[in-house]
Amino acid sequence: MVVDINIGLKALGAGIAIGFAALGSGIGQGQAASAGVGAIAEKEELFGKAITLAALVETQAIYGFVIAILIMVLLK
Amino acid sequence: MLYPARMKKIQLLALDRYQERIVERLHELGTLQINEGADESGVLKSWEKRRENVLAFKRRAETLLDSLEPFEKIEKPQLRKLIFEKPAPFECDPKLLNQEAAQPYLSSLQRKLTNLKDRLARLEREIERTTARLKTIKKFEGFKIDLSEIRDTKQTFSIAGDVPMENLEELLQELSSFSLSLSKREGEEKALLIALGLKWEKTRVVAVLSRYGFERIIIPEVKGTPSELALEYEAKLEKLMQNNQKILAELESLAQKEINNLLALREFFENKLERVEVQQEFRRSARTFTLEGYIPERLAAKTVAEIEKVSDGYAAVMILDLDEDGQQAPVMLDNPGHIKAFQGLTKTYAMPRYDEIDPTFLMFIGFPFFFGIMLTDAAYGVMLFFLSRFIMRRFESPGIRDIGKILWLSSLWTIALGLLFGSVFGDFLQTFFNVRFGVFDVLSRADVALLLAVIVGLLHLNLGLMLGIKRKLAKRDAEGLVFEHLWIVMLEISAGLFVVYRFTGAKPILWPAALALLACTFILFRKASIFGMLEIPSFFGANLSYARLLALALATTGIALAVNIIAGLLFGSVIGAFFGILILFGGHIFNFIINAFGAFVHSMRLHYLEFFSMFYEGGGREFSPFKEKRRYTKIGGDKTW
Repeated sequence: MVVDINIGLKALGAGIAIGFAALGSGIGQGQAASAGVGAIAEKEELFGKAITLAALVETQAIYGFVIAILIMVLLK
Repeated sequence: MLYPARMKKIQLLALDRYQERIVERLHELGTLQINEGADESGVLKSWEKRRENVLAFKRRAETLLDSLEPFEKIEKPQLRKLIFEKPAPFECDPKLLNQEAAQPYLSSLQRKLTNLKDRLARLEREIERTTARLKTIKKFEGFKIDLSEIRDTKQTFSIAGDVPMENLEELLQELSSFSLSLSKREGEEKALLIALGLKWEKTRVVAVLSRYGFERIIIPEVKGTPSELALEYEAKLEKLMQNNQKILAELESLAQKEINNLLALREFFENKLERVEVQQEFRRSARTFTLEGYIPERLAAKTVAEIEKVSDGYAAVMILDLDEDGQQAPVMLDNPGHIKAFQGLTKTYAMPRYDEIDPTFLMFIGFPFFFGIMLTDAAYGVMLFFLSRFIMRRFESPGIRDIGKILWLSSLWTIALGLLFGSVFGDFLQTFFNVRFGVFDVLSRADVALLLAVIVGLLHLNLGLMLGIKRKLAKRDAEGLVFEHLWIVMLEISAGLFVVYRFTGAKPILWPAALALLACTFILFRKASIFGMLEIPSFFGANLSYARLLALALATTGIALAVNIIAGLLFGSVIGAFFGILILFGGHIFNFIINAFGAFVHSMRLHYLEFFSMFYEGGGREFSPFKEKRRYTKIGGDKTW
């Protein structure tokens, strides 16, 4: 089976875009979540804010995801 | 609904003799927040004594409750009961809820409990002693001697104990030089040794024994052979244990019978205490008292009527408009029906200021919709529907029931959008039954879905922008209007015109587009020089953040797809089908839980971070009414306290 190299490169590019974005986002989310858990242990009412702060870091992964979609869809 | 409840100030002046009745009625109504601010004159001489009295009753109920709770029999939750049966209603004896009845009841219960606990403690001590004796006696099993004979006499001594097996031989050798009668029983690690000898040799024998690691056993003062005694003590222990179980059963039955009454009494006295304690906030003259506070406007007339009723018209109540410091008034969120359930989400972020918009209604619209987009699966929606109904039916806590209501509304959007996009357990129907429906497939048309997500985001942000502009105009805050909102309007006009140019090619459009962009950059430059320019990518970032609507929808569909593919590969044989069904079941439950949680958190986040940043300030002080807490008791009971 012959596969066009362009498709492979697109898939690779999309994978790198989302992969590294998710990696960075994951590390950041881990730090934010662990700090959040510490804060909740001290003050339970901070639950909402802690969870929001942990979710905040995920934006970077979303950007990676958008780039990946754009690579797959727009680069013909 | 779009703003917190309108507040009024309330001032009340009444004769002291109506104080109790007024306070009690206000406590029942729970409509006003009483301001702090009495001076020393506010404290009646008898106040401290009354407070101590009520507090003593409350503490007695609490202490008894703490003592009885460990004996409460809690049934293991059964799944069938949990799902299909409503929790049993709370029952207590309402006749106890007054001082005259509570006094003898608490005293009698205290006596009963002390008596039972004393008996239990004595029995436990006896069981402990008997167990220890039995253990010692059992060590001598096999020796056919009366244990009462292993005692010191005038001329002889006796000693018993354990010796490590490795030292036994050497020890016996050394002891052979004394006039001793030795009995031994060898074990795996230790040997039991009983020595009878002449008293004048005792010190030297003990010295030898201690050199070889001898551990003395104190023989209890009992009469009989070890086997006879073991039987006797075993029978005694069994009887003690039976008595112990009997007392525990009595305590359990007492707990079962009285805990509800004690819970009701504790609540009753807590409310009483609150009524007594609030009176130190009143200002006083020789025969009158006054109080001040805030009251929601819509409740003012009813409250005034009630005060006049209980004071026989001998109270002067004034309802006043808020003065210039009215913005400091406490904030009460006031939303009807299901919208109320979202108030908790608003409070989690921050209470609005008194003059600010209450975003609860906007969350009621936006939150379930975003949730539905992110979960987008009709089958998961149905699962969520039943889960939410269960939460609403089963739990009594208002906070948890509110979550149930939020999930219920979200489930409706999830079902609707799932049907729209043709997703039922992902592509389950397509894979196994070759049934296709829906407007379009999110997975294959991700570009369209991304565009839709960004458009939804843009609309949402612009709604926030309009609210922000409205607030700034109402506050006549021109600077805030320009630096916080106007530049976004200019940016959007410019971007919109560039898009029109892109599709029409009409060059005259470029001029206003460029002018709008110039105005935008000028404002931002004035705001924070070159760093102000960072606001532009930040705004686009906020808009792009709504791409998570698509991202989570794709994640739900993608995982469901993977589960279906894996299960589909296994459907070839009976065993394969069995595992296939297991994977379908487990996989879809996993996908449902993980993505429902994600949808909840991300819906919340889109509101808190992207949407609220456009208009919401927050920082209001929550209205905290003087209101009795009634979880176990009903209105009624003692009126003469």
